[in-house]
Amino acid sequence: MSSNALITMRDIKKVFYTDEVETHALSGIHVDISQGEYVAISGPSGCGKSTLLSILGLLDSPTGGEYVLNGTPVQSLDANQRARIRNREIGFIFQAFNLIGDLSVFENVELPLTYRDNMNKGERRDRAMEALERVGMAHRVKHFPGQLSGGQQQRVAVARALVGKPSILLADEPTGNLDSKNGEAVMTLLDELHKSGSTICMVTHDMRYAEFAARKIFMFDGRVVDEETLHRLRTEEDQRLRQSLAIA
Amino acid sequence: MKSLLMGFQHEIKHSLRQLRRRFGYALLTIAVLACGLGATMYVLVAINALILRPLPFPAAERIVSIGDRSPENPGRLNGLPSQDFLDLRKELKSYEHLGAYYEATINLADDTEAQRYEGIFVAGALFEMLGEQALLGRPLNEADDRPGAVPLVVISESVWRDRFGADPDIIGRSLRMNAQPATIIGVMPSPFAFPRQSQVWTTARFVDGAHEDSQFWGQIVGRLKPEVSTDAAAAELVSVYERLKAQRMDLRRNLDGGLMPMAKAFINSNTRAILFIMLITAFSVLLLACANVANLQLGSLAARSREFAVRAAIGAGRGRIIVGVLSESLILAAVATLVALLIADAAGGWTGDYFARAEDSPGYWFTFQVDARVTLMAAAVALLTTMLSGLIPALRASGMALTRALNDSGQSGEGRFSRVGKGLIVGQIALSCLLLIGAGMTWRGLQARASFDLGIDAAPSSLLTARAAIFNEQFPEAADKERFFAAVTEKLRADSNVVAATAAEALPGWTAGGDDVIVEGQADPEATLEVFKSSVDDHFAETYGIPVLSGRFFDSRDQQASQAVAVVDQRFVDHYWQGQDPLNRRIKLDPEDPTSQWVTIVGVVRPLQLEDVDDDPQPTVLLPMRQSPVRFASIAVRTLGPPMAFAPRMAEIVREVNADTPIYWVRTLEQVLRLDGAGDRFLALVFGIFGLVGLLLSSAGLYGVLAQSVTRRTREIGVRRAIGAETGQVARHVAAGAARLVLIGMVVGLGLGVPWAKMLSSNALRMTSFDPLVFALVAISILASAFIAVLIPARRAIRIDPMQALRYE
Ligand SMILES: Nc1ncnc2c1ncn2[C@@H]1O[C@H](COP(=O)(O)OP(=O)(O)O)[C@@H](O)[C@H]1O
Ligand SMILES: [Mg+2]
Repeated sequence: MSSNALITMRDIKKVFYTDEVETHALSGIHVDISQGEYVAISGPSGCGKSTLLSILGLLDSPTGGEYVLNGTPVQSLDANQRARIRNREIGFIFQAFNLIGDLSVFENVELPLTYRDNMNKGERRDRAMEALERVGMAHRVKHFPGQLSGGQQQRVAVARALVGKPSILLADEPTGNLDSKNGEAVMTLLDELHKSGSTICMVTHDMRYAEFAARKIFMFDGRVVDEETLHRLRTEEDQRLRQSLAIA
Repeated sequence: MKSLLMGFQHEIKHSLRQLRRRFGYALLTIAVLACGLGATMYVLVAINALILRPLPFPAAERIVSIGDRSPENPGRLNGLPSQDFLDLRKELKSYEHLGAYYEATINLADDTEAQRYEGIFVAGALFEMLGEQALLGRPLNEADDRPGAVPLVVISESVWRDRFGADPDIIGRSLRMNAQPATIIGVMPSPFAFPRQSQVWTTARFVDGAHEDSQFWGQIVGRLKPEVSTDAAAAELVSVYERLKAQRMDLRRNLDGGLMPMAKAFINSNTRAILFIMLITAFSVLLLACANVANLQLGSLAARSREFAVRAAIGAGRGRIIVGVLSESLILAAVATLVALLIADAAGGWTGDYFARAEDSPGYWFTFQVDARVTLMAAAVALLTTMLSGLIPALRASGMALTRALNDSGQSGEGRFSRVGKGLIVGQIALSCLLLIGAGMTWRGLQARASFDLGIDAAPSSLLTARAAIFNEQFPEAADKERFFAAVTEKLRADSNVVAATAAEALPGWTAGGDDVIVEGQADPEATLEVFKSSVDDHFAETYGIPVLSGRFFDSRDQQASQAVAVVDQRFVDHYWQGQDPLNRRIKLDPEDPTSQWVTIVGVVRPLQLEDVDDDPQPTVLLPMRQSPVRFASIAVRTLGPPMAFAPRMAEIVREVNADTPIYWVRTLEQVLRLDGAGDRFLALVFGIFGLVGLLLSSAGLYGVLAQSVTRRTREIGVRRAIGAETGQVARHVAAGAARLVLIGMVVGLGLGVPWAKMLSSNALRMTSFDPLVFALVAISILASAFIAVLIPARRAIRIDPMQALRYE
């Protein structure tokens, strides 16, 4: 374990129980992420990327394993303690942007800060404007999300993720809802943020975008694998699929 | 036109299918609308019965009442002396029929029993005007009514059945009517009971030129000739009455002849005002229900936005979509109206029974039923309801159809959508404030009545009271009258169950006499004071528990021939002699009567309220019965056991003293006071129900909107959780939205409540116009119900998983 490890995950497991079916979404994940890293998690659809990200982001709890974030073991925290950590340590960027339609661009970006007790209005405004400047959306503060393009919305969402000065940015398929031009713009933005010191962990199934990251983690069927293994497993699976089709 | 009709038919079919699929929603909507419509229909039933439906007599629009116009209440006519009827009949030329009547209990006695009935003494052509045929024999007619003639009696069908066993040979039967020989000439069919709940009618036999004291005061009614307008008849009456007044100033000095349609005279302006207030109130409930349903429908339409988008995409125009949504509202309103009519009919029947039981029926012909006119009004109200509840959702749906067809993001529009809903919530809260203020004020009125101090210490529940009336024919001398009541009370006191017994003209809290008074040596000899007065026996103070503050009460010193004396209450003393000794001062009642004499004050009692609680308190003068005997008196006894159990014994004792004098109105004083408050209690009940329904609807509305909004915003709340909102912050976020709406609604509602309360209190409901307690309680109830309404959606909101933010469908 390196001394500047921001995230340490040991043997993380996640089982979903639905309608008497057990889904092993994660089966023993070991991941360390250090300060300042830019990590891309990729793998085929359904392999557990989002599940892993949601556990990383304290949106969900693992069914087993150990997770230490910024020196704090997080398993035993209650819901409100977890919310406080999400608010301070983590910035989320979602595939569906998830801006709040009733709130203006400025209010959306300011929102995470309003959940802090000790921040006055002036400070919130300065931080929100600074974040909007960084993503190049400061000229749209009074707009509502419905009046923006998808690319613009995602940039606002990035600003909202940044505004709390989190230890890590988590992005789940941030380009999934964007065309390639806007997708690349968002990737460039993340790249810039990384260069200026942000820690980023991004989930994508698109290998093109994974190339932006300095470090790539590959997943298959709830496990972390290396690139060759992933390639082999995918080929095998393709063959199995073709065979079963042929038999049928 | 034809295609629009076809379209409408299609939309109705489609809506029916839609509603069948969402049965629970349809049921809820119908229930909510039925609350508002039920309240409205009920008041319409009452208005129809009391005001709109014509009197059930021939040419009813030409029937007028003649009476004394009271200057302080121009919507009312008071009775006139019998001499007025006799004189007016000679002078007035505008009438086909002119009659008069006064209400008095009638005693029918034969060899086996004597019984007291609600009676009417009829003069002139009353029955000719009413045009009612008899079941047996014939009604009274103008020729029957001659002074000195044998009294003729007409009885109601129920008396005929109950008392005379439906004897077919009843006509021509002789019996004693108020101790005089009389003959039964007719039986009137049910439900005839003119004017209210009368059972026996007899000839009045007014004597022309009788002394003022032998005048009977009653109502004069007549049917105008077809060619005479009401205005012309009124003008004739005023000029004739001016002349008559000059002829007999002794009798008519304070009177003023006036006339109004009989329908108006029976339902006076005060009742009309109360009905109007009830209509406003019921309409507020309806508005509230409509706002509620509009909100429900907005929510349900939001869920169907895709359907509208598809309909728009395949070419449905804006109009067609509006018709579609409105047709759904129409179906719901129509079903709710049917339910409401059933509610109104049942409640109307109950209302009729209630006032009949309270012996406060406005007139026998008023039946609170759903009839064709009410049904027609109901249809109009149903259409209005359709528009009120359906138009906003319909317009929203048509707008939604077009935007959604192009843009499926689901983010735009929702803000505006809920803004309409928020406005509706504010309106609902405001309306329920008004409804609760009405409920609170009527309730406070009841409270004021209950805590009203009559000035007696005996518990009303411990006193058995009854009215007895004796006849001049049997007790011609003043002393005879006094002796009768003295004998009765003496016999009562001799019974081992009786603690105290009294007879008095007044029954505290129910009835007393009234008179003008002057005091000896007053500065302005012309200035008179109106007082309540009552002849009482020596045991009045003891029986009712009335403390004597100074001097003495009446006793054996006060004989017919001894010094004329009076006892006054403290209110009287305060009016004239603040702080001075009133004893041995002299006063004169009815100073304009030259035969009136000075009476000396020998005692002072606590302030009394002899008349009913609705009357403004007045100073009170008591006179000894031996010095001013009366024909009518209320007997009251305080008993050892339950007072009502003593009632048969009381009747027996009175019968033992005189067999022709039955007692009637046998009630505990508590029951008397309850009867007196029946109108107030009725209003409090109606307003209470309206208020509760209002509160329920508005909090249900608030709950509905919040619950829908939490459901619709599941993802938003998930996002808030994901970016770090704690549970408290989420709950506060949900509650804050609601709190703002509730506060705005409360400010609006309580603000409007001030003029509303003023309007309520200025219409006879004995309430203070601004009662801070009522306003505070209204605010608390609204806040408490809003809190409950917010609780469940807020709890659901904090349970939303932050994982919702990641979900992408
Ligand atoms: N809430 C849930 N309940 C049940 N199964 C789930 C749930 N979330 C994810 N899964 C399952 O877990 C596996 C991993 O899902 P996910 O992490 O969303 O994959 P990815 O993001 O890599 O496409 C899938 O098989 C998915 O069906
Ligand atoms: Mg995923």
